[in-house]
Amino acid sequence: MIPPMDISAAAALIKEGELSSVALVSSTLERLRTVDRHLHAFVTVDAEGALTQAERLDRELQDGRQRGPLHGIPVGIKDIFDVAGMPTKCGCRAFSDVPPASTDSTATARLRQAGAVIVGKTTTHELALGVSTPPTRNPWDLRRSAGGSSGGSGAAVAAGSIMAALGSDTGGSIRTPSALCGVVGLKPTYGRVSRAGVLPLSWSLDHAGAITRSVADAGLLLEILAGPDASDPSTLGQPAYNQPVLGNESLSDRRLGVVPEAFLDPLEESVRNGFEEAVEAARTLGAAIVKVSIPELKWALAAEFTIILAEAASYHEELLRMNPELLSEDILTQLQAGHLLPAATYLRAQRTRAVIQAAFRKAFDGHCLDGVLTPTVPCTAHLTEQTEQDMLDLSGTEEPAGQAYVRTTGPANLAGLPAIALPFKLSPEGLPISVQLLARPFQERELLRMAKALHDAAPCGLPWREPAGLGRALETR
Amino acid sequence: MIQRQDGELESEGDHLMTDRELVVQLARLARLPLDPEQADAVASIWRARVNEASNVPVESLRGVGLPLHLHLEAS
Repeated sequence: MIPPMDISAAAALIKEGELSSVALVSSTLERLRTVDRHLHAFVTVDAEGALTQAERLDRELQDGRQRGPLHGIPVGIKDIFDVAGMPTKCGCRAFSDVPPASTDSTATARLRQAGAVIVGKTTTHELALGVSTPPTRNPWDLRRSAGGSSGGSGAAVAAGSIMAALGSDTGGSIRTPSALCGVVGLKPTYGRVSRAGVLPLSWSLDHAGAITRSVADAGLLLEILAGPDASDPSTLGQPAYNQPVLGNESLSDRRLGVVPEAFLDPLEESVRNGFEEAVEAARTLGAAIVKVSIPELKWALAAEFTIILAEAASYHEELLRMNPELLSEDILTQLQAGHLLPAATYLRAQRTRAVIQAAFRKAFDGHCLDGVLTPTVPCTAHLTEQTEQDMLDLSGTEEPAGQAYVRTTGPANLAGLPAIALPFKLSPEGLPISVQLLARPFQERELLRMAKALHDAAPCGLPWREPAGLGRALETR
Repeated sequence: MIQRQDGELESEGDHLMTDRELVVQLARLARLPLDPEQADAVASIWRARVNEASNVPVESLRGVGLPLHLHLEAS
């Protein structure tokens, strides 16, 4: 069992010789083997390779060489990121026989350069196009979904079977599983983190980032992952990122917007109550809460879904034409519809996206905002048997699952803004409720300071605890 | 094909073309394999996407260019 501590704390113990990477990785693997039979959060585990990496890192440290801030720390990688020596199966039958990747994705390579031990690949929703990630289960209630599309990463970090994991986020795929599993998920600014070596879903909306237990870990991972990469032009010419030292942060002199459009209606009652508590907590921490209207957000879902489907259909055109039988029915119909959309419809969606981006800028400037506070998702985790098309009951209003989650997370993808999902409290049913903070482009330093303050004040902040559903399953083994 | 005021499409012979028929025709033109049993599901998604995008008033896009690359500036 990984000790419930920040990555930086574990890395410091390793550096000081009080904990070996081999011991940490061994306990990680033992925990993973124990819990993953219930969670199905991993599709590939390279136990032998992980222990070999850990032994090498321990030797290097004895020789006085520390690779970086993740020296000896075990991490997981979503199975749409290339990891040298492991196949990238993308949760899709069409990729089931692919050979192992020959090189690392840029994000994976940066983790390795910082000393991380790659333990395995985490489960993804098929082609990263969905909000459920079957067969992964939610550790807080094994009958429920871990969310998607980075559901394996979210469940694994929540269960303590890994300290951090990579995820991708096109319409909320880092933040939704983070919210449903009760962990921290950071979608950086568009262009902050390279997507080279990652299966695209929608080039103009895809982001790469990490899922962690704490805000400090999110910042640490971002500092390692951020920066220009010639293989991903969106990252070129962007400002550098330096992680601030996070201490006891407050929200004094911060102005946080609360935006009703898209984010506040409809909501599950427990989420509404939790969000209202979070607003009060922010006020108590010194923030000025400002109600801000962004009417253009009523077009966000139209733009988001049209762009995703058109771009995904384009990327997967060969698969659609040559081997459509290798796609599940749900994915196939979405991609076929995307392929047949008129070009004018796609272009209108992209122009609508520009309007939404400008509307966010106007809201931030006009109200002198430092951030926007929203519920991360409108509900707690849905049952695994519910499909994307099934209606969720949000306090008397019905909304399809696949739309509800994207409604609150997608705007940050359209506008490219940095956004972080923070576990805030548990619902009366014992399921995580999460709040989301958005900030101006490339203002992750400010975002993380505000997030640290709010997370520290949250009823379910650190220390880490065993998710209840998983705990019950382990007791009755 | 022409578009009626209610948004439905009609072919030249005044035959009202359903979304399903339209999607089947589009797939044929695009030479995209399409299982007839899936045509209704594809048509449903297709119609939803086209309608939603069309609901954005064209005047709200006046002067808006196409962001081929999302350009963001630190502020």
